[in-house]
Amino acid sequence: MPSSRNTLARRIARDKYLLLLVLPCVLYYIVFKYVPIFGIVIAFKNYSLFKGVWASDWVGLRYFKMFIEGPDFWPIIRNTFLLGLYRLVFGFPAPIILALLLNEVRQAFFKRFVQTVSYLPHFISNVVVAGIAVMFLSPTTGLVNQIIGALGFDRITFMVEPSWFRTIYISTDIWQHIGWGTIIYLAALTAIDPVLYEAARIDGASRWRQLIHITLPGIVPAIMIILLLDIGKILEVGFEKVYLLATPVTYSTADIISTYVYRVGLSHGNYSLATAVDLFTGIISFLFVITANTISKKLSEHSIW
Amino acid sequence: MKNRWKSSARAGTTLVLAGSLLAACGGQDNPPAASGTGGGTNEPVTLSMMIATHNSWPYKEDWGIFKWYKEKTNVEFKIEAPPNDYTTAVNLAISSGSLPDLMNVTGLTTANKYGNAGAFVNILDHLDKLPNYKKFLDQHPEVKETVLSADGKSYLFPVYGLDKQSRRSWIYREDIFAKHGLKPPTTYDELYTVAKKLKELYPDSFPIGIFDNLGPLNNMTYGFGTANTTYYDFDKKEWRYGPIEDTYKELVTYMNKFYKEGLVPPDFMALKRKQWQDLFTQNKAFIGNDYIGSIDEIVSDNKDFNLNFMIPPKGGPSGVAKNLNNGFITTGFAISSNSKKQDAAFRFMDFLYSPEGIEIASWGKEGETYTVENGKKKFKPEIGDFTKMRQKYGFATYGTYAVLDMEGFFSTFSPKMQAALKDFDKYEAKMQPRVAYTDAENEQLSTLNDSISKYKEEQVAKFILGQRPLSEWDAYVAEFKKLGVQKVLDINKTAYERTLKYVQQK
Repeated sequence: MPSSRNTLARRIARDKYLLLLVLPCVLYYIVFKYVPIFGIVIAFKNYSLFKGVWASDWVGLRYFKMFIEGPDFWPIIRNTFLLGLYRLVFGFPAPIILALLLNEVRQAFFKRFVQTVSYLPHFISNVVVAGIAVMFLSPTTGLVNQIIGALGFDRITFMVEPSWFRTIYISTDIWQHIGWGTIIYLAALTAIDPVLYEAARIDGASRWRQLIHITLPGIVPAIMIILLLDIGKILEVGFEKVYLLATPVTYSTADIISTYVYRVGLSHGNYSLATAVDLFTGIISFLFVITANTISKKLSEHSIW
Repeated sequence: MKNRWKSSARAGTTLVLAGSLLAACGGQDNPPAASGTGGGTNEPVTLSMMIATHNSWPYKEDWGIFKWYKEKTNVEFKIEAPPNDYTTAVNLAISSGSLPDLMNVTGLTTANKYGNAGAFVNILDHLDKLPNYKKFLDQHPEVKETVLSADGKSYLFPVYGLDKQSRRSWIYREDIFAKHGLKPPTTYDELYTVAKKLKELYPDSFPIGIFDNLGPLNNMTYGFGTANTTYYDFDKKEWRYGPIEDTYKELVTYMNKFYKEGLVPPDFMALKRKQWQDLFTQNKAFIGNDYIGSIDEIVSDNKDFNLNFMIPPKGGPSGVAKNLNNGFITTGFAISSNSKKQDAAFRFMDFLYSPEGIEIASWGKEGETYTVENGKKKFKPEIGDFTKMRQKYGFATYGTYAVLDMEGFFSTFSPKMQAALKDFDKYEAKMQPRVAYTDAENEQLSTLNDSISKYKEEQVAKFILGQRPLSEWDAYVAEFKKLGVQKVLDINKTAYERTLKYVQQK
């Protein structure tokens, strides 16, 4: 034992600067990510702010039951899941396609310009994005409807048609994040050995062939990791934009877990219910990631762990 | 409903408006009554207080109002005014256990919830220190109902007087009506005819300007003798749910017709107040429904532009010309149970309900903000309008008053606004009771009400937009039984009876 402690001490002494470098990050995770996990106990308690976490009464699974047995349980799970799924199906490939297109652009200025412009929306707040969407889609003054009207079609009242809600949400989401999403793929693309392209060209492969057989396989590890992480986020549909874009008529497609938690839990100060719902979705998201990871491990050799 | 109400009340206070005469608060003709400040000791003391702050007149350290209070009571304040999200700030203060001596709370439910948990002092145990507050309650029995908790205690010092300024009302473009020789509608049939005519005259317009989801229905339902939520029917002496009544269906039928024929903006659900106001200045809407203060607030470069108060149209055969009555402002004061300076806090609170305190809250200080001419108080002309007064001196905002005599502020408004406010009371429905629920009831109501109001909002909107035919109304009504409307009514009945019993006892 003394010898092993010795080596540990020696290793710490040897790497002290590296350890010092990583320390803030570790502290951040402990203080802001791990310590608050204990707060989950309030999901099983009738939490009273004044009494505090420990003195509040235990109520077991009462809040989970309240959520699951409520009349809104299935609709909001379905809405959240579908919104997350569509975001994955349409939103996930979008940056990959843009990155591949940018990669084919030979003119450096144009490429940089497109990259910068496509990043910008990522930094616009959701409140503004929702405002822009509402204005563009307005049935009287909105640009989209003016075009539709000019083409001789009937104007569409986008914001009050439940069937349009998901399309609006997903398309604004893609617009917001497509540029940002390309960064990681563009980085992966630069790591591909140019020799491969040279060899392919000598063998007479077309640009398309090069894309299929060199570029894509080159970024598959990045794609897989991001896909797995995104699968874990299916149920994590952000509150803000949904809340801002929804109207009562679109509840049938737009009411999701986070808006429900806000209405029933947070706005009434029922933190126990809010925590219970969050814990519930956390567990489901966790299951999603594990399943996806296992499948990916079996089918390809890429996985998160 | 409750949240909407709260947020609209907050929005309402941004308007520059008048209140109305509140005779009960003592006009300037009354000789100043002797006012004890409870206890009698006047030792200098510093209290900590947390108050909400209003975006349009944020808290300033040099506000005169607290200086004037200090001159009379020797109570000085160390004020904490969190700049935004007051509810979170209150929750944080409560969960951290370091409560200020005195604090502004957002409403009865909050006060009762934390009061029951032990954070606030039960005011009824200290009434002997509060002679002026006691007198105030005796003079205003309707207030008493609104400050009790479910077990007959009271944790909230109410505010009184400013509420009239956030009333909902119908408004119309008087100049346009006069120009075309039209008369303001008195019934919904007339409303339909006149809107049709205006649409012919201004084809680009949507004569009946409504906005903000189904918010306008909160007021419109009262013209049909129903309500947009659970309400107490004072004639039948029972709790009812408005949105399933036949009268409510009549309103929805009208709204559907208005929508179909382009008499309301097609995107009214997504419209916000600013866009809605623009409709009026751009001659795109002529009749509207919002805070009465809109008649002064919406201004246009067009010198003929004239918005005025409109008598609420009667809806259907059983209709009445009434507006919604939002009742008193929900915020108030609470005293921390941990405070070591409770007696001073009680002394100060009692002062706010005394004639002297009311005078400072409503008029300020003689020579500084007002002068007395022929025994009549008058604001000095240089202190500006109501908004400026609030910004500069801290008049009439969170934590700076308990009771206001609105007469002074009233004199700072436009003549048509003053006239409207005089008429207004006649067309106001009786105030709905404000009921205190137990914690268990609150929890049940929060989930029940959520499903119910969500279903209502969604379906009513669909009926109006024509996405669901009105022939399915009966199926819609039946659905509410499944969602537990009866239970909500029962809880309200029990809670209300409980409150009435306490009121009679005390």
